[in-house]
Amino acid sequence: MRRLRTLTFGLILALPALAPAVAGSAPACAAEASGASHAALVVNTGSQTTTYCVALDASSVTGIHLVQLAGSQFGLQYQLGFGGQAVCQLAGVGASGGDCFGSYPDFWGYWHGNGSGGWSWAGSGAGSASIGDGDMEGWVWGSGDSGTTHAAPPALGFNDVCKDSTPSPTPPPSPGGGGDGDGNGGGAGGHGDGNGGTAGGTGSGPAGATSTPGTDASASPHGPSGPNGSHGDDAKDRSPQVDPSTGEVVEASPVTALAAGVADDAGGGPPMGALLALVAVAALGAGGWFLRRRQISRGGG
Amino acid sequence: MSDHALRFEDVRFRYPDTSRDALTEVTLDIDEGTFALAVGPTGAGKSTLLRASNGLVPHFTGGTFRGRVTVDGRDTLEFPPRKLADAVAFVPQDPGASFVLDRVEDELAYGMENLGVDPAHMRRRVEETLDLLDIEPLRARSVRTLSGGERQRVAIAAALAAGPRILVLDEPTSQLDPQGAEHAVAALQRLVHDQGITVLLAEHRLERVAGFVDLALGFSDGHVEVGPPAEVIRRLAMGPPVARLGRLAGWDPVPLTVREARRMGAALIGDAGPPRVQVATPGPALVELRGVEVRHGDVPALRDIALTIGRGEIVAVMGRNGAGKTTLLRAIAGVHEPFRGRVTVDGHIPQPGVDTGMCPQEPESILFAETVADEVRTTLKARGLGTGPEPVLEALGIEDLAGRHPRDLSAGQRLLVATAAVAAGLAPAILLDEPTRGLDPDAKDRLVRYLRRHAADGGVAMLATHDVELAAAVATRVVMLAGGEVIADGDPGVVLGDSTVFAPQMTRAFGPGWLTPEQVAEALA
Amino acid sequence: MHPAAWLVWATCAGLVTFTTTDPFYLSMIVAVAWFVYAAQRIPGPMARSFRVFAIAGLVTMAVRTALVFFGTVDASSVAFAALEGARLATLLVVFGTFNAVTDPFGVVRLAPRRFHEPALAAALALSIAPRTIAMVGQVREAQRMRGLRTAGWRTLPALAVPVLETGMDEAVTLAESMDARGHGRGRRSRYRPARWSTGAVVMTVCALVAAAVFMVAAFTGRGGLHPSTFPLTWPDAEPVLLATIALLAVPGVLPRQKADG
Repeated sequence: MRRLRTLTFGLILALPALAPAVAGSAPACAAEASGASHAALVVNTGSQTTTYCVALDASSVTGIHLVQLAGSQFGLQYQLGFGGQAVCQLAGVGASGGDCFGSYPDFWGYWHGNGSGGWSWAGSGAGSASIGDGDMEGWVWGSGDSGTTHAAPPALGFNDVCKDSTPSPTPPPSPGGGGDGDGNGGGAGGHGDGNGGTAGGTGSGPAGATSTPGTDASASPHGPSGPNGSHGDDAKDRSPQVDPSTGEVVEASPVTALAAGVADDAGGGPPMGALLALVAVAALGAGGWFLRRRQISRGGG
Repeated sequence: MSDHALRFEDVRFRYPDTSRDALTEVTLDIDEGTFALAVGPTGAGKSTLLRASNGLVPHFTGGTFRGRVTVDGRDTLEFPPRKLADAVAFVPQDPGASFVLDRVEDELAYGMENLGVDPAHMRRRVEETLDLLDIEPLRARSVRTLSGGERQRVAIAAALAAGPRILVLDEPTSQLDPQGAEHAVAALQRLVHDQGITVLLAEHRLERVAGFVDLALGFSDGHVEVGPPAEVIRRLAMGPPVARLGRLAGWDPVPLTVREARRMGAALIGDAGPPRVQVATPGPALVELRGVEVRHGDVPALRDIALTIGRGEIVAVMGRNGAGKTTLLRAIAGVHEPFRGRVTVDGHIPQPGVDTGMCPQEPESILFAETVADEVRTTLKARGLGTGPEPVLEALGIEDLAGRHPRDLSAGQRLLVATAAVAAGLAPAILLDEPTRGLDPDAKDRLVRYLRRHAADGGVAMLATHDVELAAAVATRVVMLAGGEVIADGDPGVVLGDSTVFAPQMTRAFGPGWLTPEQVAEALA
Repeated sequence: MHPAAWLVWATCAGLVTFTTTDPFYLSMIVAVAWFVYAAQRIPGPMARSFRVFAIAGLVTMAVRTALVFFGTVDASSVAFAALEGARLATLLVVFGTFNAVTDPFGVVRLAPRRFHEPALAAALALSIAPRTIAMVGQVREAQRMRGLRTAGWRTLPALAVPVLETGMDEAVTLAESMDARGHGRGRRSRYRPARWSTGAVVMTVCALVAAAVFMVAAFTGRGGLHPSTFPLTWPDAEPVLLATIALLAVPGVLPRQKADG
């Protein structure tokens, strides 16, 4: 009786590990934002632009906190400075050591987006900005001390970043703003191109932001495969990501972010971590069970 | 520094909200190095006096206190119990509830820690005390996992370890088997003789201590008479079986030990053997066990038990602590299913409360009503019996307690109430688990009378006990257990006569077959 | 083991748990706690502690998940709540192991002198719970042997009164005993202060390392400590972090602690 209970317990523990394996490649990703509020975050490191549809944990958050949320939700690497009031590093790019102007003249430029592709240079620091549902934020690494000289983020609308659930290809919208023809039809990338991807690029602003979407925006070119990887094949991701080589916008799935930030990356194999966890949990459970058995047979407590 | 370890000067004490004095005009002196015994019926003031000896009365209990108690030269009114802790240690009746810490070793050190004794000294005393009470193997155990007997020894050890000059104990052997009791009393005696410690203990099982003590305090109704043990015991009309024999036979002085009794009586008895006791043939079988094995988890507690008990038998189940007595009763009661074999009562698997009624070791576990009568009524109702509680109360001799709150009664009275509550169910097999704590002679008599009547009415009574004298007085059959097996089963005279450890005083004095003082007195007459 | 070693272990395990909602990491921590419990638990009243706290944990998790139904219900929010609940449950399980592997009074001894009284009170309170639970079983059986069933509201007094009254009597006896043995007398000394064995040192260091690694991971946002629920994604586990949690299992492979700590 006791062994049965112990075994059952061990199984219960192992369940979370089993579950993804069981679910297999079903499109597992839930899609909606339904109910939860979101803000769009665009990060351009100079070589790559990644976008994030960040779920807010309050009705309004500071710009700094938005970055932190992106960090916990998507694994966006960041480092703050000046007592946590300024952004020094994003996605591995930037000054280290807490002095955000350590690499001056390059630094992280802070922009507010109007949701339809336009951007304005932030007048005050991210620590005092107030971001709510539907707002858009941008960070660009480069030089230039004002909105006229510093590179701006690509012209993306809010709906480009935070798509709703229907799988559709998401060609970045035309510079005129707003996406028409965006967000309908097929899955982003992977399914190819949907409506012929017009538009795209910012056009405005110097340097940095490349665009031109191109029809073969592939989804998650960096994504590891496996259940997570296949997940990337589906529409569900919200955030278009720009591929450095082709200048195409590429989805930032949590997976890609994980892959970027984390050392291991099979890129096409079984979910190593999950399997390992399952094995470890089972081993510990069995070990504990054997120890108990031995104690009981010795007449111990 | 006075000679007196303990001195009472005209002490009067009344507990709060009571109408009678618990102690009245008590004046006594106990010298250093005395082994003193407090004897008397329960409720007469023994516990109160014991508690007055370390300041618990009145500091802990409250109440009205007059007079003066001096302990080791200190006035207890000026010194609260914790200030007296270096001079006097107290071991209460229920040792299990008095443990503070978890491990035996730590429990022993607790008192010394409070006194600020230095660690090296503490370690030495702990080792010595473990050896003295023979509990070294238990040192790392949790006190909660100990048996009743082990707990009592640990409690005594914990009191001793702190090195007091005065030791006060309330019924310290009630849960110990004869071996354990002998051991404990011998240890106390050694302390008195070799180290000059003063020991004051209250005890009902006088056969275990009467021969060793220097001084007796006889209690009746709050009054205390102090004197040599023989005298006090004779005047109180209670005492160990040898003393009872002495009284019945008109001997003066009354013998207190087996040796004295032998000296006085052997010549008179001569070669006459014990009378052939007419053991009534048992009626039809009521309780049967065949090939019974009972386990605690994976560990066998009883092995290969085969017993048949007929109506009219009163069976004493005896054995060392841990031999399996309680387990046997629980298996017969129907609450512990045997791993192997069959237990039947009246031909079928026993249903607790219907075929069997068992009174637990701690009677307080079942008492919950407002009055004694209500307690009995509860059982009657549960069993669907329409009669009133009076017959059962009368059978146990407690009809005068009908309106009292069970928890206000003495320990012995509570046991009788619990037995009544169990007996009210009219189960043919009545089982009693170690009815020894607080059982003063008065309660014992009533219990014996009840058991005899129950057997005469065609029932079966079984007692798990290590009270040899109780078994000698009431049992028609003795079953001896050791290591979970039956090693002896039969006539009390034979089984008890055969045993060195479990022999009653009459047997020790006059030979196998002699069980009770009444028997011997009759033979001498 | 030195009670302080266990205290450090439990705190570090708690910290690690606190940093993450990843079900793989949490499962691993629970498995580690079970393993350590099985290997090192002290026989006695707290021996069943793991089971008790595991059940409490499952209940907590269920309740936390159920709370979602007061707001928007979708896979994401349920998953989020479930993971939060799982984290709480894991904390409880860690405490359950801690309870079973230490003598509460041994931990009390660690308290600085000023806190001795409240610490002792806490330990005594902690020891009352298992005793009361044991007493309920005893009373239930005793009443059964007299023919009284104690199921249901009507018969609650038959169960509750003996338990409560006996509990009270025992509390009074305990207080009496402590008073008579000099409690609160003043300057105290310590019997056999616990010593730091090699094993205790090793397990402490391992626990501290594990906590440090996870703190770093948390501050740098790496390691997937918080799998995303909005949008709902399948969590993953980093082998390095799994191995770090395994450091907390070290007490389980050390020689079994003797009951004398």
